Amino acid sequence: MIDVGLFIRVILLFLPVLYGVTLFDYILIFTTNDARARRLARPLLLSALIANVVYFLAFTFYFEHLPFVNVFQVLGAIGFSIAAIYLWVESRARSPHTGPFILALVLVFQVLNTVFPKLDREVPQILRSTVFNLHVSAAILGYSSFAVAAVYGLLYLLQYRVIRTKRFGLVFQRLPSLDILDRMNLVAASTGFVFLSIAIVAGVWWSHVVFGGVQVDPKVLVAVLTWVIYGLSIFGRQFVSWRGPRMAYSSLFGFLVILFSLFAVNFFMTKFHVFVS
Amino acid sequence: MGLVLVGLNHETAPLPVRERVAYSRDEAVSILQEIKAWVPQALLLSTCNRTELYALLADPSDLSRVKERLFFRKFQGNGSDSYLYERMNADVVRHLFRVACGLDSMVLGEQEILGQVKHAYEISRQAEMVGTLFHRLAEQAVHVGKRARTETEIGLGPVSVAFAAVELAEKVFQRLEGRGVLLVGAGENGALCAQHLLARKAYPFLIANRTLERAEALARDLGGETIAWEDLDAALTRVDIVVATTGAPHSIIQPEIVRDAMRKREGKPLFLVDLAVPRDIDPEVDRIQSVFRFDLDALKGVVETSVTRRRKEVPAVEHLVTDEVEGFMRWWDGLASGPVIRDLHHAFESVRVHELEKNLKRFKGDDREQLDVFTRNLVRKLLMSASLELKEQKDGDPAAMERLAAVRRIFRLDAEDDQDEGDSSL
Repeated sequence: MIDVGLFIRVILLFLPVLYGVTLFDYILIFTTNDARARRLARPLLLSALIANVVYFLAFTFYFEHLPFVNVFQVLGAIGFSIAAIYLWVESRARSPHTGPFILALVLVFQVLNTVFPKLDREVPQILRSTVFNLHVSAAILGYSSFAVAAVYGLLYLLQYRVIRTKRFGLVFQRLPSLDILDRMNLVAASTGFVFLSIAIVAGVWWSHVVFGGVQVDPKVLVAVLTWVIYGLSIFGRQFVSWRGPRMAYSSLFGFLVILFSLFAVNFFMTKFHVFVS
Repeated sequence: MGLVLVGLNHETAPLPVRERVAYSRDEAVSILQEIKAWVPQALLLSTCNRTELYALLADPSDLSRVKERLFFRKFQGNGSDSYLYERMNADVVRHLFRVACGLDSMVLGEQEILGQVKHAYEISRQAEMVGTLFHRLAEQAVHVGKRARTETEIGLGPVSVAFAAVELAEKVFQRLEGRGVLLVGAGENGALCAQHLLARKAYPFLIANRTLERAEALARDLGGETIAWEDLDAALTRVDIVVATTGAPHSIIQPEIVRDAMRKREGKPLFLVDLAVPRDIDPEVDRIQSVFRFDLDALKGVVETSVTRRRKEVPAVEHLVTDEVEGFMRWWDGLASGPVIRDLHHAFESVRVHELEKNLKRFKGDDREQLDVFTRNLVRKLLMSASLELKEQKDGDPAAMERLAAVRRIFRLDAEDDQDEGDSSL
């Protein structure tokens, strides 16, 4: 008989290793463009993602809830979602050279998830609802998209600087054009904006069902602030000159606010958004 | 019979000599037909940097006649044997593969040579001088050339100032289709750069020059629209790329003009190429957000970087060529009667063993042994006349080689990976 609990622990330990090996392969591609590393890249990333799905399924069936309860589990889920989004982006863009930057973020999130595990069945009853799951899933997808937008924003600024200072080295050669990076940033930020909107609506709805009204706490305020920042930068682009470096900076700023909301607000300020002691 | 290469290139012969032996398509077909009596299969590769004949010679002593027809007759007393180089067998294969990879080109790793090898193959087909050997040779050459460019970085990066400007523009805009270009001045370098941009469907194309007649002449040649010199500032809002190449003693495009244009452009990037000395665009424009300015030194820097990088890739490409030459020679050696008979027997034997194992359960003890002896004899007798006939094929005879190649094809004697290796895009 397989000990499912042990299996979940082992696979949780293996996830950072798998993502780490994949990241190493992508770094090798970026620095040397090695043909063997290029052939290995997608199978490696795909196997890490499959292992992650197996972990989610095993966890959900064994502990009887989705592994999205505390902040580290949410980060792990965001990491998975970013890696999946990246796999899709790479198959569209046919270039693996933004991989190291995206996957480095994935690895950090996955390491945090493994180092601070929460493997038990204790979940407050109020969290066992479809609307709550919709709220969390939408928030995870939204935050993942914003993370991808932030990485593309950062890469935009890097390539922008390299071109303007005329340093035509590896970064210039490997990174996509500014136009592509700008558009990637916009697509990712817009996708994130849609998901964050869904998460806010679902959160308000769930709050009405459970508490009979909207609960306002720092995290809710920060989420609304994030929503406003991205909304302004996306719509600002349509009407005024909010493109290029400005768009890149606003994506980075938005993501910093998200990280602040996930860590600082969760640990020090909020009462309502912490459900597990 | 042997595989021979005789030719000259930019390293062995000066341009006046190369010009004389450059063959147009029709000339190439007719000269190939002229030498057909001595050369059953051949490939004539004639470009501005090389004229090379790759030939299967029935009698090696015919080489001097071939050289006379192809080269000396055309030199008209202005050339000598010292311009020519010769290679034999495996060295011929290596040379063609190196040429296809751009290792032997004036511009290391250049792409055009692949198209030229394909063109040479088409000419040989038209002259009916392609057999199994030369089909495979040309096919493998194109395959190796493509591998070199996809598996290494031998073909990456611009190697001229004009291309450097285009590549930089593509690093900003990705696609140049629909991007407006303004050419300031009617200098030759600027026109060349504009041509590269127009080839990528950049549009609209505006030309501003102090002398309107020259601008109009250029507009007729390249298909653009002239604008008045006074409208230069306003034009910066209509285009995304500016190529400046005037002979003015001071800068023409000042930071104030660009700053004003950027306000109207709502932050859309502006790409400025300055090919003039002294410079036409004030370097102070670098301070303005989303403005990308490149002068001659910057563009030369790009060229030097990519040339250095291409050079670093040479050992990797040489290694790839060596691998492919070995593979090709193994395939060629397999076209002799001995290997064909051996492989034919192996193929039949493996079918016999396979069928025997599949049906063994239906027989008992002694029957199994008898069945083994019976099938062995059957296969031997079935192949006897074919083996005798194949032994009769004289190694080195081009017609015999075609027959042996046909046997390999019909009975699928080549390993699957060998069959797939070639590039069907010829």
